[in-house]
Amino acid sequence: MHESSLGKEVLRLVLARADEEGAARVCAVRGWIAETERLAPEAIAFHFEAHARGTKAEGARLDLALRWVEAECKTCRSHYRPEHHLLLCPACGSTEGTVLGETGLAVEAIEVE
Amino acid sequence: MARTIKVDYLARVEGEGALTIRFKGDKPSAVELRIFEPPRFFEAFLRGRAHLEVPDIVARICGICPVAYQMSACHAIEDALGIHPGGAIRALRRLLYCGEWIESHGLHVFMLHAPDFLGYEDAIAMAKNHREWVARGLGIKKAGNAIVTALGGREIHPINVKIGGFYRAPTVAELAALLPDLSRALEDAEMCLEWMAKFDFPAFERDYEYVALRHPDEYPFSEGRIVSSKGIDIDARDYEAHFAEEHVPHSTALHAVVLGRGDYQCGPLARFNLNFDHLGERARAAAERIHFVPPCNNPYKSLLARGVELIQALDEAIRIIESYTPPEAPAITAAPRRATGYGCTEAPRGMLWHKYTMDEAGLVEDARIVPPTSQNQKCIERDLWQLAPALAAMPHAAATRRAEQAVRNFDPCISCSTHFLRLSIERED
Ligand SMILES: [Zn+2]
Ligand SMILES: [Zn+2]
Repeated sequence: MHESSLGKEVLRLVLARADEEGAARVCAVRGWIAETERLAPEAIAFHFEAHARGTKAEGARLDLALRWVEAECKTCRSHYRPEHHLLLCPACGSTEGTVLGETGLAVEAIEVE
Repeated sequence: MARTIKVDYLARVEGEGALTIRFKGDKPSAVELRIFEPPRFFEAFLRGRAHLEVPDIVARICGICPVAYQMSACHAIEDALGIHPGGAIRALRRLLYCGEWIESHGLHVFMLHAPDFLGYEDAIAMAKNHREWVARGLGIKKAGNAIVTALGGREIHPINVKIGGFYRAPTVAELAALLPDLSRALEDAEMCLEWMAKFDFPAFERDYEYVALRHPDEYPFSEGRIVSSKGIDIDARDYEAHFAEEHVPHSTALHAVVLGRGDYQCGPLARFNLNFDHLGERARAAAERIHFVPPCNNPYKSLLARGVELIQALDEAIRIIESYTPPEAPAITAAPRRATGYGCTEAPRGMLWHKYTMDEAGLVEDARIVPPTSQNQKCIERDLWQLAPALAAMPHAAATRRAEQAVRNFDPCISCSTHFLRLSIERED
């Protein structure tokens, strides 16, 4: 159900930007979500669509790409994809590592009319 | 004219929840838990849709338990159509359900709840000192993912399920490939249960009414009667005559109650208390080894109930795969008809009840979904009410942690992030 509040938050942002730009209608929203968040893009999109009913974003698609964020092991320098933010090097077992990208959820573009 | 606006917006994903406890003198006078709950738009969303679309639509409601939503919907619509897929289709559905329990319990136990018990900030901090346990937890969870992927088609949102069965049944070899990881995960889950049994469980008990499905001879997934520890024993279609959802002024959430009595608990501890005799040999032996047997009225021990259910689900998954022969047809079909159908299954967090009314053409006229979150909400508040004096006596950070731990006894969904709660304690004289 966490997805619902995120969908709602994205909608709030999108509607505010659409108003700033004087847009009449929002057709689509694109962005990404880090795999480490363990959130289903389809679920966030579902709740976004549901909250968007009756707004100028009604019917708009929310397209969030699932983005893998790599980490580098500080011990053996190998690169891997952490699950759930967990820094556990599959090569050497070290828990010391650096996350190489941004986590979280991002909105990059809004298509409007 | 269509145009694209570039946006540069990055949100940190955080849980959101607030708990306010008010005291009059040294007695709590109000306990209000605010956890974001979506308004009930699902029902409106489903109206007018074809019944065959429903399982795929409802699977998108929750990222943690899409299978449970699909299964409750399938059972309810099949009930309306008058069909009951059995044999290998039924076995495959149970297997899929095992996969979701393993995945969800694995996440809940190892990534969210264990750090609370061990006093770590989160699983990342816990991994530094307990690397091997976190790695075992991830391995267990992955074994569940693999089942869901094999049967569901995709890891997060299974698309292979349909009314009457599956679009395609897996081959014997496809399922057999899962066995080595499942066997390892089962052994790990047994070790993990013994490890968790040594945790420090806060002393806390309450006289709960437990509610869960009960099947004549199986630990419940998606069939059986709805029973309670205080005498309820009904068919799923009679749920509305015994339970109601109430609006609560301080929340958008609905709180379910047993009519005439009040709060109740569903989920792993309820299933464990009501169905201990139906656990498989391996899960039951593991529970007995740590002297964890019903009745257990300490909600923090839901951690152990999840541990026992992990063993149960892994063991059952292995048994289903070992005796699997593909069905002759992956699904059975039936013509739509005007009817109302009911379905109740045991999502990892507890009972998930669905009801659909369809017209002659199979279009949904009315839908009602009661998720486990709304069923446990009042029970969580009652726990916090009893916990309030202890919280008030603790330093604020410790009290916040304890309250989070108490909410997590029930739900990973409303507490995806390790820290999700703002606690305020107010005093009036
Ligand atoms: Zn390494
Ligand atoms: Zn969920």
